[in-house]
Amino acid sequence: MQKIRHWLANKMRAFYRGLLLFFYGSFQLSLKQHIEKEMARRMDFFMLICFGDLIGLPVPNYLSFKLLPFFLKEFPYWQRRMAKGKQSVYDRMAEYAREF
Amino acid sequence: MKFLFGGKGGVGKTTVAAASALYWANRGKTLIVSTDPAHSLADIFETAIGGNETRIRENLFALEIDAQKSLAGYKQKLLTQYHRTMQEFELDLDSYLETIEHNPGAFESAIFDEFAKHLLRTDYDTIIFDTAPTGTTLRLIFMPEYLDSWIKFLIQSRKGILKLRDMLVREKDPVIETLYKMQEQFQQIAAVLKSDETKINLVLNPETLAYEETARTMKTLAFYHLPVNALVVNRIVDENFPYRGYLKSQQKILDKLQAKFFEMTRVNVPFLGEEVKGIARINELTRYVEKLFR
Repeated sequence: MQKIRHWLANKMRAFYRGLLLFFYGSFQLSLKQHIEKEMARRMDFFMLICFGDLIGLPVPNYLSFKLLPFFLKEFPYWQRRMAKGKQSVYDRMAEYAREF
Repeated sequence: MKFLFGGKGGVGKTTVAAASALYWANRGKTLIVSTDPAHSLADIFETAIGGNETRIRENLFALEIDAQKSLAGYKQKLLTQYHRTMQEFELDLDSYLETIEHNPGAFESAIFDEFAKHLLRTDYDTIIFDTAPTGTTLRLIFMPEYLDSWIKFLIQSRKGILKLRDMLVREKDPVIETLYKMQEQFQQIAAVLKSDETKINLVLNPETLAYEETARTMKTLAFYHLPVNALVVNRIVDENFPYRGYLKSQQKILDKLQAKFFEMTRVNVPFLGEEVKGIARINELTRYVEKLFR
């Protein structure tokens, strides 16, 4: 009796966990990924308007000069991403300008 | 109190500013700051003055803003502070920093930074600014407004990112805090410039070119709600001046000034003949400049 109850409890717990994962995967995960993707995209744009000079885009940069320390670790990845992107930098700039 | 002396090139801004500085030095601790990249304070006081405060005489200190030096200093600080991070990520920021240093506008911004620093100082009773000729100074004065609009754009962009990030994690963002701090500083500077504590004085000669430029400057300043405190008409010659034609044209300009700016404080400073140089000679001028501060 004790054994069966234990087995049942385990099964129930597993089922509950699976159910949670199911809902997390079907709703939360995609949402989170979406948010993360969108955030990364905007972050790239933000860095573009701050530090465009690093990839040869002239921007008024004296103000962003002071933000430099916060982005230092991100620079190499960002530069690679910008270089790899299918869109040209100007396309991205235009896309960003449309948002405002 | 803060006094700004502006005007066309070569009308005697430095001379008038130096005379005012001597006047205020008798009444409290005074600092005279030159914001012109081509400094001439050292020449008029006949001593070497650098980027650091130099004592001229009792209660009187002078300083020449060295933008190049402050830019280089900031760059050096950044390079030493983040040396390890840069090595770790194999970053080559030297060329980038070099570009920033020589970018159009960077030099002006650096001058503005220094100017703002001295404008917000409270350890002196009086601070007198000897500025560059009109165009450069107008840009300096309006700089907080220009920068404010750009920083608003940066803040807006950053807010968009943070809105998304807040859905995932909640933590402080140093970037937007820095941006807000900068914005606050700009607004503070704009407020100080517009307050009664800062008085903008324009110096001119009784000549058409100087007169027209002054009138235009006043219009521009009025557009940004920055009233001009007084006009200093420098180098007025008397009847003994040998050239009659000059006297006639001078009279014409003085009449024009009387007609157009009758409600404003105007201070006339005569032509002193020999060049004004050195503290003793500048002292002769103080009794004319005195009227500015009554």
